[in-house]
Amino acid sequence: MTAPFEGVRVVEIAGDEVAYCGKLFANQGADVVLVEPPGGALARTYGPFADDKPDPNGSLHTWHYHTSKRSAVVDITTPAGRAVLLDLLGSADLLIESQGTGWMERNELACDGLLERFPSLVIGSVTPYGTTGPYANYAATDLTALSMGGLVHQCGYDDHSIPPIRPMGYQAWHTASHHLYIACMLALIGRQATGRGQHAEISMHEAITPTTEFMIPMWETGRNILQRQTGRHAYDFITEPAQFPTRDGYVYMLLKTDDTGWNGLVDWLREHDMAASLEGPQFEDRTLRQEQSAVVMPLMGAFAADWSAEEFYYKAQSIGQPWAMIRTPDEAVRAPHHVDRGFPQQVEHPERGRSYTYAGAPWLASATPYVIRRRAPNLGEHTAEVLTELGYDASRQDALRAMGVIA
Amino acid sequence: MIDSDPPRPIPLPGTPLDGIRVCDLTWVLAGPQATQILAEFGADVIKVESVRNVDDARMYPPRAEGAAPDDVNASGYHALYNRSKRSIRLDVRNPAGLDLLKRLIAVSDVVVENFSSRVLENWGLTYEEMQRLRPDIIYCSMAGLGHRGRDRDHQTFGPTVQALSGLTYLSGLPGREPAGYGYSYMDNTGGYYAAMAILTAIFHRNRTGQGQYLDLAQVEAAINLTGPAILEAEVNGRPNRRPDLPVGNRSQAGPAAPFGIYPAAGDDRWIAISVLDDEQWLAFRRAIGEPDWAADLGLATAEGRRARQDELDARVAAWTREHDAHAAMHLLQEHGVPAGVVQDAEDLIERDEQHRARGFFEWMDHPVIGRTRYNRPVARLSATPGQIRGRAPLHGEHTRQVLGEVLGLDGAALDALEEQGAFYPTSVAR
Repeated sequence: MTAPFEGVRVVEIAGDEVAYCGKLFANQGADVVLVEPPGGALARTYGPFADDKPDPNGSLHTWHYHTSKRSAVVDITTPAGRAVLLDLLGSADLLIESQGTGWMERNELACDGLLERFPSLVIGSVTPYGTTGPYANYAATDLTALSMGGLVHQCGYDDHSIPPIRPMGYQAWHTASHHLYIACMLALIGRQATGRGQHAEISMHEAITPTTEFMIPMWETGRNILQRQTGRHAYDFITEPAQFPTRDGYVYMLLKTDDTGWNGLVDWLREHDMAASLEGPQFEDRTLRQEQSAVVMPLMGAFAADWSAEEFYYKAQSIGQPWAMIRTPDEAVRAPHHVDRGFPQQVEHPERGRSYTYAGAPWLASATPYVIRRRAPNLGEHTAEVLTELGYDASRQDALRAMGVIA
Repeated sequence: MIDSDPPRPIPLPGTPLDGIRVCDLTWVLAGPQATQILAEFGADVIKVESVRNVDDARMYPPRAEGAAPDDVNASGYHALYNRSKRSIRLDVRNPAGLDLLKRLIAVSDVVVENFSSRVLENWGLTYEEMQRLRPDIIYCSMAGLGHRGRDRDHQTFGPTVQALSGLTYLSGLPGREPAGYGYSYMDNTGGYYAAMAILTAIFHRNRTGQGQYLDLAQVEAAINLTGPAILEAEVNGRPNRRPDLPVGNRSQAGPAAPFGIYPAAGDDRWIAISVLDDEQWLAFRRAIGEPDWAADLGLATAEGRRARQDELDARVAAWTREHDAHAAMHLLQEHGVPAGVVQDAEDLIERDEQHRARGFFEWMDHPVIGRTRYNRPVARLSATPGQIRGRAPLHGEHTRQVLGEVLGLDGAALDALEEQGAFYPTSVAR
């Protein structure tokens, strides 16, 4: 097993939209140098915090998104800081940034110039709306980006006096990072053949719009606008509820009407003397059963109320119904199935004298491991180490530190 | 009769995946999403299709107007996610059909499938068998819960992948049942992960000559998208299952307020507004005309605004309700306040000035569905751009073309295979 990015250096100019992409490179063996401004990346102010104490090194957001990276504080808005960045780029394979339309140009870091100077460099950029067009300079947050892109319109409750709901967890930034990773990998594979780098750009708006399953074709082919519905697919008409409360949570059900699934269901209810309501000629075949789902689903929903969500989920799967419980993230990461697969990873936090469980490999690769090698770096933890590697001796570093260019 | 010379995807010489062949056994959405990305950056994606178990997506809505309910070429959904590929029809329960599939794997770089976890094993197509056929094969499976682990036989689909990962739980108002995602976010996103895994494996194979087995569990990809919540429970000992989580539309990171989705003029129209700091608060006040209530000194700081969020939300809503959502967004953006309309499909495809200016949607003809729009590839590469290479294939339309070209079979050999039922007996062909 060899890490796929052994020997690959990534420079990440700290930004919300690129952080997750950088993490995937870092956990697969790349040396990812996170370049932060003096005072630290904005994300170091994002809660929740360890022990609920706001601290640049205690942001649990930062802990998750910057695993296995090194942190160097360099003020790249100054000429001396830019010189450090350029030295770093001389040793890098990939630069990722999300500074926003025009920022790199204003700071004498235009991509054309960088590619001229470093022809084999791959540059990956994310902007909220792309660098051209009428919204090129519009600001975005995760909330506004998911709204504009089309994701939020489909999410929420049956009651439309309640606003549509933005799913938590920074899915706009994730979606940008997923596409950025794909774009950078394409450019890196191209470089293996040609030796030349290029600029790969992602508009977060363009990344979100097609991450919406039915939305585009339902308009294009059917001129339908989907209506949000509690816990189930938005659709052009109102569908049966799919989510039901149990004793301790919720389960999601979608009736499977093939003989295996159906007979399993009837047998299960028979164990509880409830099968009578599922017997008769109206349940003879798949089509008829499907037509009865408005009868069957509320019955199963009422039945679920006395169960624990977990028992109900496992029982349903065992009889051929593809239902699931709604787990919380902390329940999911520890679920025995994922432990079997070696998914949760322990990450040492030496300052705290213990390790914590983190979400692990997003896919299991037989030849290329994904390993969280160390906790997220403290602010500027590796500044001196990185500059020393670049040939900056102690006196030059002291001078830069005194000028406030590095920290 | 299968047409012997159907349209080929537009060639993309010099793109990163030009020369890569993908044996595509995927269906529904997650798998096709992955192979579409590979196809539009140069890979030759050969989608192997069944007649007995037709790709569900070929039957999904929306349907072409007037199409028969069993027309396998009439779904707009299928057409969106399968463009730029070729389609062949093979009966893997027929020995001659299974043999052709094995010969196709032997000349492929990548095999990808999103069946439930034992299907390929039941066909005898384990990773070991594929390696025997092609020593450096990259095999990506993408079952919801993966191919290993005690729950590997569970059946999943988009909504239950989201339920089992914690994503569903994290969407909703505090103290209410989950709102979840109103679609299969993890089908699109699961497809992105398969593309990411396959591209990483191609990069590795180019460096080392080594192929590999990628066991993607979509649920585990999804759990990674909930990271800070996991750490909050782990580090602070505060379980996620509690009344103040999720947080609805409010800020996940800190005291930013106002921060939410507010009603706009019109029926079920909404606008998202995020005021991140004091400077943006001043800009917001200017944008809405400096009303007296906003001059309240108690609202001058983020903590002050956070403490009075309910009151603030009501004030903001009273303003937004009087304004067209797009007009309000433009006004707020001109003042530097992050704002975005909750756009629907019609907004995005017919009216979004940004998508229009950047040519994000492209018209394309399809013999059954007609002329409709498709989004272009998201990744914009300066030196080796990708593109849509052609409409989605009709069911099995490239069977003879692909087997002739890729396996070197001549007309007589193909006729003999057809006679043996390798492409399904004509009686079951639709």
